[in-house]
Amino acid sequence: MEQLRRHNLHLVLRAIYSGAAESRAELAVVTGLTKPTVSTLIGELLAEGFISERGPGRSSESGGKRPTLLRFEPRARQVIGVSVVGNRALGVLSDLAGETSALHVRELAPGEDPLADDAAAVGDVVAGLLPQLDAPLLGIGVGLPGSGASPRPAASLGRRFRVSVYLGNQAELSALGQLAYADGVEQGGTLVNLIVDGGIEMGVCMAGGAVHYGSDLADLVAPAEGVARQLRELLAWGAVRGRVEAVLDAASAEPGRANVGSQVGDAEPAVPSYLRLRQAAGHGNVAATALIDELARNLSVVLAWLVATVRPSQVSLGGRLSDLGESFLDRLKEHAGTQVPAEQLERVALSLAYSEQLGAMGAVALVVQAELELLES
Amino acid sequence: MRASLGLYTNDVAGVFQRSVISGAVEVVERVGLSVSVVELTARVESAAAAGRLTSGTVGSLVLTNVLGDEALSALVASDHPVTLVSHRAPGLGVPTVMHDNRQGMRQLVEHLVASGRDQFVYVGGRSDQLDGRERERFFREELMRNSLDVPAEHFLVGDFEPAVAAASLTDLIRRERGFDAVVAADYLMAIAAMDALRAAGVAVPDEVSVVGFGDGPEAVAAGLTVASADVVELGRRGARQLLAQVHGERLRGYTVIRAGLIVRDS
Repeated sequence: MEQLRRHNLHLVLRAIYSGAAESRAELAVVTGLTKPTVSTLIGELLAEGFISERGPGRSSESGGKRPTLLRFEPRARQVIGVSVVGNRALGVLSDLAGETSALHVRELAPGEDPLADDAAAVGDVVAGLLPQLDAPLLGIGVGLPGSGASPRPAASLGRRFRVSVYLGNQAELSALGQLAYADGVEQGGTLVNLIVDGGIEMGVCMAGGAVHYGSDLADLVAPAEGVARQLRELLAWGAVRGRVEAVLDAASAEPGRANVGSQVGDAEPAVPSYLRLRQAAGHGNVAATALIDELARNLSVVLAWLVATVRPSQVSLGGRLSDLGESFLDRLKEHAGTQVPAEQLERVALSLAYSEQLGAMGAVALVVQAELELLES
Repeated sequence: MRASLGLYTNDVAGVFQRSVISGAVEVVERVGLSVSVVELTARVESAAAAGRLTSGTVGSLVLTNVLGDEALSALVASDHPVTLVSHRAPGLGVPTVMHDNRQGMRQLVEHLVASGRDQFVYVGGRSDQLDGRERERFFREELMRNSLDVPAEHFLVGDFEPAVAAASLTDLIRRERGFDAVVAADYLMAIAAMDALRAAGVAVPDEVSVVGFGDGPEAVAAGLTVASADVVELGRRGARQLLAQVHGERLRGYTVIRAGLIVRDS
């Protein structure tokens, strides 16, 4: 009985959130619930602050009493979403519509495992955001690298902060974050998010966010120059960093090409990055261009496999590799075109998702979906 | 007697500092504590001096880097709650509240690029302040992301001082006018840049767009497009973080307050 009441409550809330209905009468039509049931549920939602009355609407063509219009109140609750990006745990404090007011960052200590049972780094991020709460906390979502994460960190965090905690794979949550809150994402299709950074991970999101899953691809084997090698050896930043550094060092030493990416007056020492590699290639550096092409060729194996099996409508590239920009996507598509039929590839939109907050935003969406079922299913 | 928090800064009369202080005082007084604002003309370096400075207070809000690493380490070791505002002390484990310099710079550069601007001048802040270093670093990252090259002579000294910014830009205008956008590390320098451009007969924004980081009544009056970083709110958020520590929370890491693009007439 309680489960049914909760389901109906969320049905009504989602109808108001999505704009499908804005009065009690419309809600009865849209949800199929009786008017007395709708009125009872509206009373609960008003008392909880999830909705408010925003005044009278127009009366119907046959005249009669003007309906009281209702609106969703995204600031009724806040949600903390945390993800582990590279060597840091990053959290966002968001309202129910994905509007963030603060971030908190905690660097991981050398050798610190973000998946440890006590999830200390994630706990520090949550503790850092709690003083900034402006509304009651609905829940905590956490995106972690790898798949098959132990449920112990969620239990530990739940005991410490006394709210529901939800865990997911960070690539999976990045895809969910894009679907829920980013512009330019097709809602009806299948979105795949590839995160290529310290590891290689894939998140898939379909059915408007109701179905999502994630996988670690680092152990997959791909052919590279005739030799089968794991993707981590070909694409993970730890394996590529030295080569990027060597290319940039050589580029800096070229006459007339001093300080590629680190102009005079640079306030901080330049570190190797894909942004600098892309800039060097833009300046005509042959080695930089060749390395970017090699990375595109290596990743194209994954794209071709995805296109043939998952058949996504959109593939977004996230993580550090996305700093290589739109021209990298063009090369990626070109290489994948040699492995799958062109008509299959043409159906896939490629995009960049370089915000490091997407995983945390996906963790927010995970909580909102689990607690309030606001996303369409 | 009410328990007191110490608030330490280099200049109580500065526009930025005044705003942060007002936000912090508002939050702290609401919970029944008082704030003792202290202007430090020289950096406090030693542990002993830090102990004397903070004696009798239950926590410290440190605005700008007026406490050296040894002083901060000693306060942390003695479990004295400390929050840094707009600067960080890497490795010391002191929690910090600051604005989102990366997001702000990204919004400013993307706005200019979308407006068709591609010849940039940057007016920098002070390199001994985290905001000054970060804003320049993130500006450079956004240049690379947008495949834009900015010559070294277009990186101007501003030092977070409007007069310095105006002088640097006036000097550049005398030499050349090969730019169509000015990005300043804070809004007061951006307003000074607008004035310098107009004084030289350059139309803003028809010939040159000007944008700046941060926001205040002066920016509104000048019609300046900004990455809005509410400085009073920064003070409020810093005070909240410090109060959490005073109430026994052990905090690690840094909190970043969002900045939003406000497009006006510049």
